[in-house]
Amino acid sequence: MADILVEKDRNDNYFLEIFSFTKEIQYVNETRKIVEFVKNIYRYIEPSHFKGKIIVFSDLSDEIIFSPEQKEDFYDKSILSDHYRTLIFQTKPPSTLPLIWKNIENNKIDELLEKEDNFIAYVYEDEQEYFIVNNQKIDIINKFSCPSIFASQYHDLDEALLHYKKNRIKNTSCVLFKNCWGDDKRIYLKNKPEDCMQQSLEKFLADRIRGVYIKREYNMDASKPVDVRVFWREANRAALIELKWLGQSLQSDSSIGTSYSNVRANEGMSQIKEYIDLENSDSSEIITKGYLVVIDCRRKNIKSSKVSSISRVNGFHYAGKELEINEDKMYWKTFPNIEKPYRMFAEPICEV
Amino acid sequence: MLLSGYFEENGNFLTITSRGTDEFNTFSKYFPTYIKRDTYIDAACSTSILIPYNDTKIALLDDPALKTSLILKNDGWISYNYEKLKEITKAIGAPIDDLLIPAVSWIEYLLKNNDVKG
Repeated sequence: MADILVEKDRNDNYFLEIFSFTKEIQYVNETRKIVEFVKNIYRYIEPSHFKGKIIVFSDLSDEIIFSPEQKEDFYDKSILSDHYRTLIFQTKPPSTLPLIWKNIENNKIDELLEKEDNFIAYVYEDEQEYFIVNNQKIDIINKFSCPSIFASQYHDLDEALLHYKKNRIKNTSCVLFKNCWGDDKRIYLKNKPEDCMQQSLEKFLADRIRGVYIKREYNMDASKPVDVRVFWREANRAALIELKWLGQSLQSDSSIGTSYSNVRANEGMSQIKEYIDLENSDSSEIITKGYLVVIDCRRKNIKSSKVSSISRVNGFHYAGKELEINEDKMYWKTFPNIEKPYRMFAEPICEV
Repeated sequence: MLLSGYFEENGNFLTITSRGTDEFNTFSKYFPTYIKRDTYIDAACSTSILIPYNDTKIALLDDPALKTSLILKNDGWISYNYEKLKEITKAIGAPIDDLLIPAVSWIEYLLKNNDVKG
């Protein structure tokens, strides 16, 4: 007898639920074609930026004649952008071009989705996605940080950065990040640690995320080059990552050197905004998001004179202190392509 | 394969290039054993279209059968739980000649089973 997990399988997976509901392999094959199509159009449209409705439907009997006066053959993917209220596609056999309708009124769409036979459609609206099969709604369960499971590029990056924070920076488990310290107890950073921090992040992202090019010191005519650029080869997506560190560094002669505090994070947010504005005006076809990664190595009571050991109280003083970003720099609240900063606290080795 | 430009090396991943895809499509037609394999490759690739890649990766790499084989260094023999696979396929009601439904249900099953055990 099938156990409880099998039952959960069926309810949690849209694909198995569609089969369960229809009991016909034809619908399974059509679902696969629709998902493939959706993934293809999401190479050109970022769902989190799209405020309208996207529908991809298939008519198994090939009888639907939907709004014939507004239909067009769909052959040029470069027309896709997030400036439409609605985008509707009808998939066709491989020898025929798919059809597209742009900015169709909602009442016509509702009528289309109410079809009760031989009909299957994927729907995306209000950051939700689901299938409609013969007037039955089938949800797509999404446990990702992005609105569509079929365009997970920025979710993959988010997941990678969180993994980097927990498994590479927190305890300095990354071999390349180890080189950033100026002492064994991880109290002070070495002189100009930016370079090895960039190397560490670059290597980690290249190993972790599939199908990306990573470029350090990416030049784009801003006041400074971007620390790390991630570019997805399979889609028109990119991410610009500005890396900042907080804490106390040593000079090359091991005396007390530069110190950066919370203000540095605010400067980083301004830089991100500058990069995104430049990128948008430079390459409008590539969708780019800006990320600020702050490696937090702040310790308490280490500035007046150099110390060789640190107490747990002073070493972890900043561990739970979030960044204070000024209201006018909280760009993530208004710009869909600027993310909230990632703070990664690097722990010291404490004496008592 | 890398030197011939059929694959690209990107970090820890090898990615097939368009040249590699053309080569595969051309030659797979002429080798009878490849034609049979194509059905299985198609089901495996379709699964990664229908289920997010990371979920598929986690499901397969955390599979207890694979982990045991790795511990035992038993590379050539992974004791898949075929009985469980048959049971699930039957419970879902998949047609006997279809590979996609069993493949998707198996990945989903592994994901949940690993969650439960994890």
